[in-house]
Amino acid sequence: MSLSLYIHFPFCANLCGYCDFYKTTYHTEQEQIYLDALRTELRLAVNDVPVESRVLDSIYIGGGTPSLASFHFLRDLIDDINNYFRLARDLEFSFEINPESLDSVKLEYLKKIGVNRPIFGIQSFNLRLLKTLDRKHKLEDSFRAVYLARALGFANFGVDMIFGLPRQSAKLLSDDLNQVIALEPPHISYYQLTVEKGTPLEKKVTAGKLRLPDNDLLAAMYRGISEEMKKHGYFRYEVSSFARPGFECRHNLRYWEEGDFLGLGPSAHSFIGNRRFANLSDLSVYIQKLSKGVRPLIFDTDSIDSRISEAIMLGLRTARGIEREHFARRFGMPVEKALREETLRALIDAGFIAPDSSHIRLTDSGLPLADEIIRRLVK
Amino acid sequence: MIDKRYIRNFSIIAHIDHGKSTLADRLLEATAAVSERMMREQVLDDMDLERERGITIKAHAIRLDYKASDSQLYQFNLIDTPGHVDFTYEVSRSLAACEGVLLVVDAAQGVEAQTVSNLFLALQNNLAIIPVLNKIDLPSARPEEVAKQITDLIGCQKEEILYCSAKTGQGIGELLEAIVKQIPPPPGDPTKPLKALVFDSVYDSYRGAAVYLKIVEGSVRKGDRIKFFSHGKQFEVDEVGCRRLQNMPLPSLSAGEVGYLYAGIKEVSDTRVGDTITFAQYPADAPLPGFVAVKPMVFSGLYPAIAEDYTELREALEKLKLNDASLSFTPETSTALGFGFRCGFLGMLHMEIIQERLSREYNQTIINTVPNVEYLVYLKDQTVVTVDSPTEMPDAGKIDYIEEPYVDSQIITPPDSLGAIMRLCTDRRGIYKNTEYPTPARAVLSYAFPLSEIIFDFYDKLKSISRGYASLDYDIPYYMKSNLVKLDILINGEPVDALSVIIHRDKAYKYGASLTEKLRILIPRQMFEVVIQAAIGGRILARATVKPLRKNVTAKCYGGDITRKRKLLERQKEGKKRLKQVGRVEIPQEPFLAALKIED
Repeated sequence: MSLSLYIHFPFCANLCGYCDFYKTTYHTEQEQIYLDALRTELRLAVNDVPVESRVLDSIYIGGGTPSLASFHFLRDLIDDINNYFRLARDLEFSFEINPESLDSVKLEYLKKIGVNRPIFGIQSFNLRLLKTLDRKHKLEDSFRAVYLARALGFANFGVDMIFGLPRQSAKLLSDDLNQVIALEPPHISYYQLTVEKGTPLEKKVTAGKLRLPDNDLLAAMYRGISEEMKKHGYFRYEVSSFARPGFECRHNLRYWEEGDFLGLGPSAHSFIGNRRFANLSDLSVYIQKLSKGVRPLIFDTDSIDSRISEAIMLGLRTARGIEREHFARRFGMPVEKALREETLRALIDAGFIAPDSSHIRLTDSGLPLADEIIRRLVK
Repeated sequence: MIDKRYIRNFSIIAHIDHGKSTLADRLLEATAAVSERMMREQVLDDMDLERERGITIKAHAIRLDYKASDSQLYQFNLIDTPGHVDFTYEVSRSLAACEGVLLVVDAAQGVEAQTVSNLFLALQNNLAIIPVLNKIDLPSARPEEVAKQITDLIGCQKEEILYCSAKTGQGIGELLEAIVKQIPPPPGDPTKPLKALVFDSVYDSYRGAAVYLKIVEGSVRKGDRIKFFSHGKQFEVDEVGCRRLQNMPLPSLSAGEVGYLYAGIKEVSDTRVGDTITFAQYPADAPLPGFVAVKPMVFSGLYPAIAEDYTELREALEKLKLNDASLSFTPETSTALGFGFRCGFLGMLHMEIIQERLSREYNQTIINTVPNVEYLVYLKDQTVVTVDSPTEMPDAGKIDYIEEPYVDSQIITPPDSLGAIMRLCTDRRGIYKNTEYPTPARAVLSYAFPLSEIIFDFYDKLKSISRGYASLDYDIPYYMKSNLVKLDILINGEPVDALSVIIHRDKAYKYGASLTEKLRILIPRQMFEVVIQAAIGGRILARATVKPLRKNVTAKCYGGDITRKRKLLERQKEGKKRLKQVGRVEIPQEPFLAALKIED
């Protein structure tokens, strides 16, 4: 048994209006206090992991803006990880980077400590659209980041994009698509903008100050993205994830295929031994608790129904689909038992679901409607 | 036993807001039946709902002692009457218990149709009528003009009208004296076998129904064995008495008196308004005239918003029925809405009251189908069926013709609104009879209307186009042939029974087009195209399409935060319980609620 490790870096230089990940404004002193707490958490968490499972397949450092982290923060953290875990030979080590906070020295340093999959949060190449997201980077920052990754010899790297932005037209999306494909990153995540509750973006949308593309346009955009990606050799292996063969994000696949993962830092989630738990989304509580040697955990329900719902929900988001044998082994029943029979039949007839002997998966026309389908399907 | 020469039984007839309840309060105060502390506004209306709507739903009777100028102590029984067209029959029975009425007219508003209608009821019952011009303190009062309306209406002398203000108390003394002088004492022989008129009943969960009654002949006391003429059931009397602010038990009630009676009656449906109570062993030879078993006029399907609440809804309806014999309900199933009840109501107001009580007192969220009246369907095989639900309508091919209830109605209005009102009446399929001008400032329009056309929002429309001046009243319905059709709403080819209506052929197209359009907007986009059609039999009248949903997938399964996504799914599953399934199409409640509110 191996493990994936997620570490949350909860600081940003400025806070973007659309983002609802847990974060706060960066301060050097805060970073140091956080580092101490994080190291305590790591030590405590490792104790709960059986010795034979202390092998890491993947590490993912996300945020916030981890590319803001100081060298000594990263050094101490990586030292600890190396002390507690064995790293798999083919370890995948992802690291989220904001293009404007990157220079060659930092990227070189990341490479030195083992990062082999930088992810650049480019989001869009259109300055006006970036502005609606409060993103500060410029066009040249994005190009330079990708150029540096290549120059430093990163064989694997990813670019994160967003579509469905306020006032984004089909033409503007097409410009973005052409740009990102021209850069030829091995991995592209193309997320639809989600207006999250309580964000400044939501307020603007509710107040009518920003208008989002309607459902038909969004559907067309998503279809356009999927088709362009396919044309250029990218395979859609999950709703929003596109990769050249062999460059799928192993870390994310582990979330969707429900392997064990340990998350550290405020708001980070874990799934170990069929149990889900998470840290409180509050930096000061996190620090306070850990200073007393206590992990600030909240546990999710242990109900089998919840695990089944999750397995269906996650499985159907991926291109592979739900693996019948794995599902049956895990829950002691065939996957059809957990689905509404009549709905399943109707959805198969309508061409939204394609079952075969080993998997149940959504088709290309089913995937854009995954939420709707899952809601109807789950018992 | 009081000498019935000193009894006065009377009611107050007034239009809503003309000050009936305030006047009743003043009478109670003046006769010291109510202490200052106990005095709430409008003490006779004891349900919250009545208070809010400013109308009296259930009639009560209250006893007052009044020492008149002749130094004699009089027993006044003030019998309250419901003030809405839905309850004409109940009013008639309350009036049948009286010897006189106070005809109260608002000095600013003038005589309204409701008042006229109740006045006729009073005249038919040969009651003494005391005209009272109320609210004379208002700056907008037009006492001269309204006094003229009153003299025209009852043919009395101007001098006979009492001027008062229930608000300030002005004229109340004179009114009390007039009650003594002008209203005759009740007739009736206390030595004859018991004949008592039931004019109201209220359910009490401990003691059974409290029956409000007027002893017409004979007397009744605790221990008497009584029976009801209409259904013959027998009961033993537990208690008799009169109502002051609380019940006051008395040794007996005898001819001429008004009071209450308990006899361990478990169901209010056994205590029908207008029924006659007599002795079980030595019954009177005949009941009092005028009894009619009350029949519901308006029918609607009531369904729980969540299927699991069916049992709770049934229990709530059962409890409401305990206190409301005029409510009827039978189980009904709908393919779209599941298990529910077909309920019968006296009218729209009654229906709204029941709905509000279900919501407020029993916390029930309900969906109700478009209300309809009861139709008589004459089949080609010479049989007749009664249809109170569109789903029960036989196939068009089997039907010879259909009759629907009509009512004769009077609309009183200032002449300047006549044109607009007549247009409204025509639109509502009104059959014009005539127009009379009792005074130059008032026109009385007579129309026959299909009941279904005026029970919904006609009254509100009438009020709005006449700036509040027009008023409406109508009589008991009769049946007439009509060109009616059943209009179905089909969703992806499947009829949604809950949305079917029975409608006049000439109105079917407009209704169908408007409803399909409304549904198009309200039905959320699904994974498939949704076609909404309005149809009569196989003929499609209108069509609208809900485009399929093209995209609905969360972009990101937040890092490892699977819990959040799953909880969202669970919430959606919970919400799904409120969705109604028609074939593959999921429909939320709103379209059903909106269909009810459709403008025509």
